[in-house]
Amino acid sequence: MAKVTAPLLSFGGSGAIAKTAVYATWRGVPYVRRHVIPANPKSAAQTTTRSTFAMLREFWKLLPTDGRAPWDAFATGRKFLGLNAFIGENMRVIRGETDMDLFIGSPGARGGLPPDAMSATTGSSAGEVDVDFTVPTGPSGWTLVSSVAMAFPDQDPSNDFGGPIVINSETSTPWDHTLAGLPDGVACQIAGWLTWTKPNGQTAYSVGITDQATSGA
Amino acid sequence: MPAQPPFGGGKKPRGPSLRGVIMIDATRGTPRVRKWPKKRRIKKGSKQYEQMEWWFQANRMHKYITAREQIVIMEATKGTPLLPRDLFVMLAASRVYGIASPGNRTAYPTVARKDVSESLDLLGITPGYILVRGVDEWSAVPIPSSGAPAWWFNDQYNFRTTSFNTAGYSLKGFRWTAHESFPCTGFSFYARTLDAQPYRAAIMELDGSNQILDIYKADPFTPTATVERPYFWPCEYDIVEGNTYAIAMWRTTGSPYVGMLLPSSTTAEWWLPTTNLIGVRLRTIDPNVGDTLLDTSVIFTGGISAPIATP
Repeated sequence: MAKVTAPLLSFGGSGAIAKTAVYATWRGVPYVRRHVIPANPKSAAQTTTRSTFAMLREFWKLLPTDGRAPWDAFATGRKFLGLNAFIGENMRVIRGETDMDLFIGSPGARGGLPPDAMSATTGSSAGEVDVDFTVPTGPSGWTLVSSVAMAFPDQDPSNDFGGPIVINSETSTPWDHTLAGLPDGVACQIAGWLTWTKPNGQTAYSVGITDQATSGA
Repeated sequence: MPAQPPFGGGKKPRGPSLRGVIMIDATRGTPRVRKWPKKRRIKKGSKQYEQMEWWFQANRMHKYITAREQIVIMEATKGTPLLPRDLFVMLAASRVYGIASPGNRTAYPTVARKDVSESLDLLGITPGYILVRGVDEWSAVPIPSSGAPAWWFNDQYNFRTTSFNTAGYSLKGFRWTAHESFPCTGFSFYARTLDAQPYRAAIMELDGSNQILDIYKADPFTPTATVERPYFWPCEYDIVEGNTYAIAMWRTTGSPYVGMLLPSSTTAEWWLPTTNLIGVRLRTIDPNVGDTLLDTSVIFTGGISAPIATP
């Protein structure tokens, strides 16, 4: 695939020519590539990749704003969306796995500082998970805005996403959460990260830390 | 007249093409139009892929180190052109580097100190030792309790023993001026290999004209293959501040000769070859520590050369 500056001697071009070259644009970048008919062998590896991709796509659709914010911040100023980053980063680690232990809740953006520790335990009520954070002391000029915890039932990444996604943002000490609304007594994945305000006013997100716990039965 | 190529000569003749889009060239003499050919990627080696993966992971790892470490790195790179991530990757790669700051000062990381320290360990690993430049190379030597060597080597010198030996043989050894008084409890000679012959060593006080005023001779010693260097002689000899001393080692011609320095001896003896003797070291008792022995001397290199013919 080659990027072009003046496709077909025009300002822009798209479409196939004589089933040999295809002109198109991606995120505003024009390119030309060979016209190919995919082989589509539907091998096990290809099927796994497709199903994991589809699961992550559904996950993103159900992800609340607080969950999308770090990915959108990560993609700011780059030629991709938060969605692309979310699928790309998670596909890299969970493809081929049997659970979501390696799920990445937040990629980290603008140098956010991670929590010192995060632990998830079974909640006292049905469908609840308790999440406790140990937060660090930020450098001078930094302000800890919130701790964010997200939980969803654990599953095989190659299966359709069943949901739900429960997310909570805590803006004051003790920065701990009780996530309710999960199915009763199921193994859950919990991802947590911190949100900071930097001296220059930017919002920074830490990387996500993942833990596992069973929801209250 | 032979047929001319459609688009002229040259290595890769090309017609009026649109760069990056359409190429018009000739193949086997026949003009053709085709999509601009894709640039073929050079296949990377496995080592290069390994480096690329390391780089990728090292940059990622910066986000996952603890907040305290990230803050330290942030503070370290404040006001510099480095990003905290850059500094972390340098640390992960154990690179020796320095950050130049205003005022011509350079800050070096702790890992660089460790690298340099490990290199210096090649010269010596005993805690408390210092580095001294000898004639040929740097050597590690101990620091006495006073914080400075009690004596050091002035120069290699010839000195005569005519006051004790009527044959007038010359001795060569190491001469120095004592800068503090201490009891010498022994001395060690460092040598590469010695013949399996009796050797003697002596420590002596000299006057201004290199005449021996006083002498302490150690017992004869015959090195064997199982004896580890350095060759150590215990002695009881007081070093007095301000006096000039010398120390020498020589091989006797056989056992039980006691050496040429005895007034009664007229037997010729041979000096240690230059290439074998590396240096000598005195030993004393550290008054602050008590009975613990502490080397106070300085290692000096350069050996004793061949004996001087008698005058």
